[in-house]
Amino acid sequence: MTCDATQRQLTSYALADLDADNAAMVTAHVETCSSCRQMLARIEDTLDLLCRALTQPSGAPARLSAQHRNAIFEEGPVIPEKPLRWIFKPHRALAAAAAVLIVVGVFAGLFRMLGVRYASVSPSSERYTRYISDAARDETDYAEHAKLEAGGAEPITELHEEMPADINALPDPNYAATPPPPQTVRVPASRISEAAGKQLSTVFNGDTIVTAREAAPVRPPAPQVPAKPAPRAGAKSESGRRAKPDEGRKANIAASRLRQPVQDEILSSLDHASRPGDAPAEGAAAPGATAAGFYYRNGADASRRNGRRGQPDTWEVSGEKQSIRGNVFFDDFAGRPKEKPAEADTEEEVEKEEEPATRGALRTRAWNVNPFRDAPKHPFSTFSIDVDTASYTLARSYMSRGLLPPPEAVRTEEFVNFFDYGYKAPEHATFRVYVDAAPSKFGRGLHLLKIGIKGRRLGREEQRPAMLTFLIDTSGSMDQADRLGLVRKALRLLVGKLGARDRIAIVQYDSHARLVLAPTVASDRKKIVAAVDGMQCGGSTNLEEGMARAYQIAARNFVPGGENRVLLLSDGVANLGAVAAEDILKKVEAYRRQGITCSVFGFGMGSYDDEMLETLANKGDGNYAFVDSDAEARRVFVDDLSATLNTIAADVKIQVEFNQRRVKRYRQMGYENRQLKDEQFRDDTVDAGEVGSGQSVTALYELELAGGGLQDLQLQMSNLRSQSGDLRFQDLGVVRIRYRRLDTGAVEEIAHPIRASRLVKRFEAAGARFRLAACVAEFAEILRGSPFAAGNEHAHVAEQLRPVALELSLDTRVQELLRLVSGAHSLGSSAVQ
Amino acid sequence: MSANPSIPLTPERRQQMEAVVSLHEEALLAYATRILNNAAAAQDVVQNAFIKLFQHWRDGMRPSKHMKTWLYRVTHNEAVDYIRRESRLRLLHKKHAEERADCPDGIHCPARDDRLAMVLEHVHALHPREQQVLLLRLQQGLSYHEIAEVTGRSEGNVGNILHHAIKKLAAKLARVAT
Repeated sequence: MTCDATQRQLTSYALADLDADNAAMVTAHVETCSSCRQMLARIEDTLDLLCRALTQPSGAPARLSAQHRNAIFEEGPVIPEKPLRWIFKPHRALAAAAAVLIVVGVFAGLFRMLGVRYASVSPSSERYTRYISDAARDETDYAEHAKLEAGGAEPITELHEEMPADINALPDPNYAATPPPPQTVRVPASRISEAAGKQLSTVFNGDTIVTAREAAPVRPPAPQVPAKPAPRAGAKSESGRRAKPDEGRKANIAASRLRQPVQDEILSSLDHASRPGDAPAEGAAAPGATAAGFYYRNGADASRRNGRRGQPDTWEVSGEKQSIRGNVFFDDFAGRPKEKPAEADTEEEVEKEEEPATRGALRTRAWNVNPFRDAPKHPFSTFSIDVDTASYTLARSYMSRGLLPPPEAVRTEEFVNFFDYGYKAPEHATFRVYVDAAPSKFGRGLHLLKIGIKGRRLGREEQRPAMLTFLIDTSGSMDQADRLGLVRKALRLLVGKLGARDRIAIVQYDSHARLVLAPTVASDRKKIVAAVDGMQCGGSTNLEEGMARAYQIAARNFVPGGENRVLLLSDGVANLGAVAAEDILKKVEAYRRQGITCSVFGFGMGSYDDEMLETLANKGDGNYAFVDSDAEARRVFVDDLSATLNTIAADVKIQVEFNQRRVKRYRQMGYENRQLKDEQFRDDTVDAGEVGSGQSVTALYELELAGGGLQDLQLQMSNLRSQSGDLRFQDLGVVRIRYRRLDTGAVEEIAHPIRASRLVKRFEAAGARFRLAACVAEFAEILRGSPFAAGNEHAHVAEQLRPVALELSLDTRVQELLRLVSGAHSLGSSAVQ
Repeated sequence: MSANPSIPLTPERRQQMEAVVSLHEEALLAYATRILNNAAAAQDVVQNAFIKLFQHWRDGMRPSKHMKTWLYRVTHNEAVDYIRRESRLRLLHKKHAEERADCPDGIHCPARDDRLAMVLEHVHALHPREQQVLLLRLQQGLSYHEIAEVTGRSEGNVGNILHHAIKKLAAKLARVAT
């Protein structure tokens, strides 16, 4: 995409008006082109300012003054000879006038056909045929305007009206008590087609084509009267007006006791999606009861004539739906009866969707799944970062043995963070934030927001010397190939990756703890490998003594300014009482304050105490991984090594502020045990997660956007006032990250907006990595029995994942995930074990 | 027009008209006020638009989804008419800018942001065509498709007009900033 082509689309892009494909192209171009990026920033600034300016009070009254209002009703009833219709481009009148005759001829035929069909369904009707004309103007040319006003009119169409036969027979809850007298004029059916024929021939002759346009009623400006709000049911406050779109109006309309069909029409035009419950679907309400209405020529013909698209009718008339459905000619309202029940369905489904959410509020505690929160009440979502991945590898290990993992061991965020989302590392800043959003494939009516945070990758000279104390479990249960065997392999791999400045000590523990390798420079490979291979298993598990010994060694050999870490490698069998566990955790936390961190690596399956190990790593500011294979050992000890050993930022906290104008409610997927209170975000004494060099973290949210449709949403966004400083008018929200840099010790905070332009309109159009994250999260949610995933099955996830796996064919983790997801439905519960 | 048949204003018809007016008046008034920079004139303009609308309403007809765009179109044209008729565009803006500055009710007057006031000035300096598209999109929240219907342009054209308007504004704002 060229700069030129991009720039022309930037405004639409910033307003999220582009379709998905174009938006993606613009996104791609803007990433690479700094001048377009600048341009976009300027446009966004301008739009933001404009929206704010335009929503300032302009002194516009909310209602017409009583005087003006009455004038409308006094004037209104006078019907000019040529009611309705407006056309565009009257300067083509000459050409068009000729076309009119031809087109009308065609229509005459159509109408005749229709008339016959019509008469058969509605024998009781009165009909009129009329010409409608009106002038149009083209506001491009203001000078032309007056001329056109005087006489540039064109007849366009005939009007084929029928009185609704039994419109009052419709069920009308509001009006049931006093139905208005029927206004039906009954005409013998035999006369109808005859009359129609006559009228149509008149049309054809062109006798009644009138070209003059009545002069616009020009009224002297009425003297300003003090705005006197007329009494009105459901009066709405100005500020509440947009926040609760159309509620007040709906109340008004309902209160006005219109005939039900009219009400329905207006209400449905008010708000397509949210009303069907109140407005009985016309099609369903009147089978055979109403048969007729008025037929107007649809805009499509005018467009054919004028060579334009979508010339609309101002009025639309109810008709017998069965007879006209499928007729292109009347498409506009032929689609309606179908549409309504469909809406009703959607609504029901939405309600069904929401049901578990409400019920979930009760069950959430049992599942420990984050509930939905209302954005207006809780605009902030605050949590500590978590880069662990053990939950996924553990689940994978269960599944490879044909078992489903226990639900409580599934942590959505660890599943999601296992995968690579291709974030580019920032070159200078500590973090870079990536935001993507698209409609969710798994939560109906919801959007999925993905927030990715990528840490800077430290250069070699920036890496700090490490003092690593390995604490290796050599109890009897570790004596298996996938445990101690794997530990040996892992250590060999690790040693190869360490530099000459790094030192290693090894403590092994079973019934007792002993030092098997005094601190040794990592380059002395032979000595280290010999110590690793010399370890033997046997005895019970005395984690307490092991931890004490390991920390003792680590403390004695503490390297100031370096990476001091105790690494526990265990199969998790900690035969501990609650008191002992508490003691260990306290000790770990105390050492962490002094600068010795603790990472935990789980091996093997057995009676694996996942929760204890995770808590240990959590308290020790370290990471936690589960190693179930050679490949995973390589990943953890080789690929993620620099990240694991070179923390770039500590106490990393994230706070997402949602724009309550745009987001109705949200739910964070995962991070349940990492939640912080909103006020803790800026409390720098609160402990939070660490991010290593080049590491990335991904957080997912399910959002319900305000107003349902994109259209309402845009309306809302353009009409409401902004709430806080760096939260822009149209943004979905802001991501703030607060962290302590390890190199300087300084606390920093960065903010990144969630721009509306990042919102892709279709799930399928979102990037493969985004869809991957959506699938992974849903997979985890299903595995853990989240109430929000109720009704979704692994097969649905697999279906969405398949194209992703094709696209990311080189990523073996994704291929493996697909295998797991596809096979998941046939697995038994681990509870059986 | 004297030969026009007159339709009696039945209570029912009046209710329907009331409903239509209630539905659209607020948005139209806000829109017209922005164009005219004059709330009183906006009332006239919107009133005229509704009168035109109801002249076309026979019993039994229902509002279609195009009514909204039609009203915006007529309101815009009426507003432009009004400005030309009074031929006092500049005067009007000036006068009302002053009027608004002293803020009679003292309640609905938030701390005035100079930049916001300036933006509005710039908006009024735009070509009416640009103002129309800009207000319909940003103030009234219409889609490109609806704006295309109101203005009789293609959607692409609408996007271009909007973009150029925004670019102009951005340039003006940048000039001030430096």
